[in-house]
Amino acid sequence: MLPLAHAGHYAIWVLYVLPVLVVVGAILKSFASQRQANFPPAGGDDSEDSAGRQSPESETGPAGRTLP
Amino acid sequence: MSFIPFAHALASRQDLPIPAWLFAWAASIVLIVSFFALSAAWREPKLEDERARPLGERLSGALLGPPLQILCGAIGVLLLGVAVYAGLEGTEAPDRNFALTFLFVTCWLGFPFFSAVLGDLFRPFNPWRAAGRVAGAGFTAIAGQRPAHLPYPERLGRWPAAVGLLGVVWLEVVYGAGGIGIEPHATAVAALVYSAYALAMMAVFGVEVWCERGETFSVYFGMFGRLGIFGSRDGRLQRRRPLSATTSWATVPGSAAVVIASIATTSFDGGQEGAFKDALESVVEWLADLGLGPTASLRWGETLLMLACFAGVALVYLLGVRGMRTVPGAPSFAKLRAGFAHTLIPIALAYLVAHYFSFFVFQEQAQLGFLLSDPLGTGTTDLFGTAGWEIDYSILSANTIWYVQVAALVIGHVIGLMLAHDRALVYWPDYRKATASQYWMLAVMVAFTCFGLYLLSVSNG
Repeated sequence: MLPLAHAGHYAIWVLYVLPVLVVVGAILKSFASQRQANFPPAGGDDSEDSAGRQSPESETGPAGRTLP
Repeated sequence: MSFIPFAHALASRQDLPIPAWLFAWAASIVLIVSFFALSAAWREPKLEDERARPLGERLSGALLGPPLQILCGAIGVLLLGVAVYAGLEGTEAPDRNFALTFLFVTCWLGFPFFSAVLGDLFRPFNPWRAAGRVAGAGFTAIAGQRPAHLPYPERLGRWPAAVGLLGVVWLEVVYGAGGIGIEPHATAVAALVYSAYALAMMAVFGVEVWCERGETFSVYFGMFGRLGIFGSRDGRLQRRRPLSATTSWATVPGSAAVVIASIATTSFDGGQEGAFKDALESVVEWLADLGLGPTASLRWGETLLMLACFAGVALVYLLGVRGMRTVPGAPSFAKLRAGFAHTLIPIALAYLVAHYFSFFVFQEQAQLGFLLSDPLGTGTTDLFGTAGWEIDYSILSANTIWYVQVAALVIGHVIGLMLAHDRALVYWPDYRKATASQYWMLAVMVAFTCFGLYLLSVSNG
């Protein structure tokens, strides 16, 4: 059992973990948004989600050209 | 590196302009910016082809020809012999005996450092390879046929080398725990046992096969040699594109374990007297309560900690690989796991530099000074007139050490990102998918950077 009196000594690692959490959080948020775009809520349009974004199926334009 | 005092924390840092933890934030920002710069500007694989240019035939012939190969091999055997003799017959004072510094500093750290720039320097000096080749030539001359070898089990891959790497660090750090560190005599005995093992394996599987797959030092130093700009192919020395040779390194099973073991053992050694100290003490106390003696408790505690470090580093890497699997078009988990293992090589080097470069600079003064003149450390010889030299610790300031550590970690991880991005473009030719897959490797790199800086900041006090 680690003594509570030394808690401050260990707390410093939180400052080192913070950047990792920020990056992981950003990735998860990005993937969640992507997932939402892939699977729009029931009743939504097939090609656009509720925010008006295009679904991945519409990433290729006419003649298969990749859209930016 | 616990056998010599002041291995890591030579002095507390003074006058840093910002708190140490803020360096971790700054390093993370550098990585994130590098990541997006790579995404924007690097849209085709560039490192898969070594684009090697052969060097002049005469130069190749001179450097790779039998005379120099024999000379280098003989030097390797001679120096190993001197180290073993010094360990067996010399003083037990670890800092005055040639054996420890030569094996654990000059070779163990020197070959990775210099091979990472120039290419695999250990291969010509490998004493076991030299002895094995001489024995093979002798057999051929006597028997009139080349020695027959068993086929090497493919699935075994580089696992023997990974286990050997853990074993070397275990011997160095854990076996010597609790006292002043590992004794020169034990080191010499271990070197002899390892020599017998290596030669036996070479006899069974063949010299070159064992050196490529199972011989710990060849595999470990050769891994860093892939970062270097010189290599050889078909008996010809060649200059290759920097980093490009790493891309073909991890095709053998167990390669990921080798590089993970390298990062884990460095982390373990760096943290055992710093960041992990309190946790280690708790485990040791718990083991002592179970009835183990003081030395056994310490050794078991440190062994568990070392294995935990290995598991932790492996877990972070595998989480990154698992994350990549979520991107459409991803190859199998096993293919990704092996396919990105080489991206950890610069990180392993960065960890080595960050943790040991100051130690290396200090101890090499001893190596090239009094240890060379008085290998036994008995004060009875002065071969080169340098037996009276002392180590000048003022050659590096504490702040210089810190800045080199930070720079090594940042540069190593940026290079790791580059390698990962380049490999992702092979698996996902669409650069947007490649970039998406590398979000996870970015997280892995940021995690390793912050972890490394945390270990150093605690160690340096």
